[in-house]
Amino acid sequence: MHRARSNRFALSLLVVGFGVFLCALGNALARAGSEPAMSAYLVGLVVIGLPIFFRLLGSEASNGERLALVCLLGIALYLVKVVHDAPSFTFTDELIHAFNVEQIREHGHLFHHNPVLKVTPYYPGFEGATSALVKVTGLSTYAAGTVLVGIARLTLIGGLFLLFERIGGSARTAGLAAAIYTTNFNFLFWGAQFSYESLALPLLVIVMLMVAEREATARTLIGEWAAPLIVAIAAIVITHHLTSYALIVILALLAGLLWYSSRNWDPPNPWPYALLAAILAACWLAVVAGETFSYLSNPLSEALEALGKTIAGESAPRGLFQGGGAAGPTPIGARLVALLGVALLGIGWVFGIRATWRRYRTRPWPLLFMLGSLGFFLALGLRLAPAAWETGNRASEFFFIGLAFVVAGAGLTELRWPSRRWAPWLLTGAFGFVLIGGVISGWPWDAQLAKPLRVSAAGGTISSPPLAMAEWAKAEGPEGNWAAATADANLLLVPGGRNVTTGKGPDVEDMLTNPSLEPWQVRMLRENDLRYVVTDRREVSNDGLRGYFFPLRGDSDFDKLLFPGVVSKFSAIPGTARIYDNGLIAIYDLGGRP
Amino acid sequence: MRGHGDLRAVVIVAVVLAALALVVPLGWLSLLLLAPLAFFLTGYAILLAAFVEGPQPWPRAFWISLGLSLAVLALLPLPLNYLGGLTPATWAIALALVVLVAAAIAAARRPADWTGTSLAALRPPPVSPLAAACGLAALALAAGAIVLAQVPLSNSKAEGFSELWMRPGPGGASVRVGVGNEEQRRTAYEVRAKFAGGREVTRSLTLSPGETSTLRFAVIPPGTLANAAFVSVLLFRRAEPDLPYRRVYGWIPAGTQ
Repeated sequence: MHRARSNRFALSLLVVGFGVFLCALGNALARAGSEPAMSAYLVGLVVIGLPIFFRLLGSEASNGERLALVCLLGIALYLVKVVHDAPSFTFTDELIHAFNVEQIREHGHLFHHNPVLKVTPYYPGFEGATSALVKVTGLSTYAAGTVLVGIARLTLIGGLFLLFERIGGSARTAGLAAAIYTTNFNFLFWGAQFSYESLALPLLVIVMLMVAEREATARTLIGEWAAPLIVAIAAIVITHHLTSYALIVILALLAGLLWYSSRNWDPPNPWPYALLAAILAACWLAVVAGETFSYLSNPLSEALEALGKTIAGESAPRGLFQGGGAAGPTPIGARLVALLGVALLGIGWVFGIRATWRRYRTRPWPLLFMLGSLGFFLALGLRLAPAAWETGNRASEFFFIGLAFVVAGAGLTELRWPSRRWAPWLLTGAFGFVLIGGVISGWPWDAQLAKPLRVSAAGGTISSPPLAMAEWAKAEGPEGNWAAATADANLLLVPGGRNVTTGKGPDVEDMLTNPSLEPWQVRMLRENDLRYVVTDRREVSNDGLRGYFFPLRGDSDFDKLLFPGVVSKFSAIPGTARIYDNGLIAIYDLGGRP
Repeated sequence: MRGHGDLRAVVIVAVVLAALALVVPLGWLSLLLLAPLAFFLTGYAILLAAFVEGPQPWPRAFWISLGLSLAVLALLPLPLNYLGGLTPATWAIALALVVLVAAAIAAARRPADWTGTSLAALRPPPVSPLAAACGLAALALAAGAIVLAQVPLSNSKAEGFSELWMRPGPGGASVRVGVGNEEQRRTAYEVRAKFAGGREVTRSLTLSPGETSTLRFAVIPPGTLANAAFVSVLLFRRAEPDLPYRRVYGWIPAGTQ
């Protein structure tokens, strides 16, 4: 029996390995400009997800096999992200955090200035952890970071399984819920990137698991959970702002629900830990990370304002699938799959919420999950408001924990199916749509596959224009303050290692896209001591997701150019030298003349 | 830690792994040695210290240990930042020290007649030849996927380009001019440097894709901070000798920071 299970799991391993390879093949074909890249990639995702879900639906698998299967699913999907862009970071936040690691590597200390995202050095947990691997092993930041996020992913998926198992009392429910969690919009790419939330979210799940385990512990031993909980909570607080606030809300809600069900604040009610998390987060905010307040409050107030205006009809709702940037819209078929995925989740939720309420309404954790699942659908509404969609998108990772439990814990395992024979096949098919739909909803269609960053040519390897510029800056670029468009600036951080300003404050973005030189631009450059200006004809240079790659012949949407004036205008500033030129990108030195 | 063999074993393994990871010169081998300490042992030691009766049952102990180890990795940089900085040695010592202190606390908290179990009692499940073969094949596929992702592939649609740059040489007496070939083919270039006063110097070179070359041109007379020499450099492709392809210019010496 055990041998048969072991063989079955090994076969799953083989199939999933094949799925990962197909995804890598899809990405390789995309980099080479060949077809059928997208088909290979999507088939690869299906090959990874469906056999595992089918096996989890059945009743034969042991608890250990279920845990192993969800871990396999989580790691395989992480490998899909890894093969997307190895051996380089290419997501916006990745380069910003990699720069922080490089600063720690170089200086041996924390809290060094990050010119692009100023708040990040004040949450050094993630970069600090990466620096341990970088420092001791001598590996590159990319290699160390990829391993660290991989371990964090394993912690997340295994932690979720154990949490769901503890709350639902069933390994089958837990396996299905953990598998459904992997379909959340941000699981494949956003949540797997080299960024502080990729460590903080798994830590949050581990805190939730420990709180749940604590509830199940004998009263006299509850105090033994104190040290592990304090360590994990403190780590979240110094790792990621939003996750620490989510932790406070989750623990406070749980404390309230526990009180509601027992009219008792005594242990195991977790209110002391909610209070501890709130105090630690407040202290960190006040003493170390004061900039977080403006960093978070501005987009949050904008999101609320935009939502209010959209609801009041004062501004038009944001169209769905607008993440395509210059690369054009998401194909209609992909949109339908994404919408179908959400609809299937909605159907699962309708059945699940009824069953969960019937079965668990007196228990705090399922009630918390039910609230979370409701929050997921409310957050979907934020996607219709132009300035609020990102908030809604980011929140889905947290709310999806509740949704996964509700759909799997009650929806899938409690339903009475007319045909027991076909039900697993239908459910597995539905999972496929939800998985692919989540992938489409969470990441722009044109960015699902890799783009060429380095290309093999006549026996050598050539780099894309912005990467070549950044590599030059690292090797030959002078010290001092640089100004550049978003994508160029990110590459100037890593691998360039330059101190670079980008974005709207100061308004480098408008300066670099305006074809005429205006007095405010020169004034801004002087006031901010920005000596080196990186000009870029590519419209996509302001896109932190797409602006790193080779322009491709025939891809007119992707390769739109700004007016030549955006580059040439700086030569009109007296004493300015032009020190670098690669056709699309030129660098000016405003202090070129002594 | 007398009488607590499990604690002693954990400490010895932690110290040995920390030391080996530090001295092994190969990055990936060093990581293999560091991983059990950094991703498991520190968290497991905290569980041992927290739970007198022994850590939680498998697999909870394993996953909570993973999580706590990540938490320790996130927290340790704070004290290290003020105690000698984040260096390879301080990291290795700190990780081993966490295990040592936690094990000491566990030993102190345990009653004299302690008979708890530990994770070491776990035995891996037996693996059939078929399962082993499938596992190895899956590993090979995953490794192949990662290798495939890292190999630069040709793409005829990718628009190649060339780089031209200039930087002052030492003492204002020369200028360094760099040419980088990021074109899809081997390309012949001509570099024309024009100096104040009308002197013009031309150099030819041919570069393969991915190749760069740095040329040095003398500035005569050398520029000074008071009287910097203006230099303009044009890059031509030999196939189109009359069409300037890239242009840079500046003063030698350049302005100071």
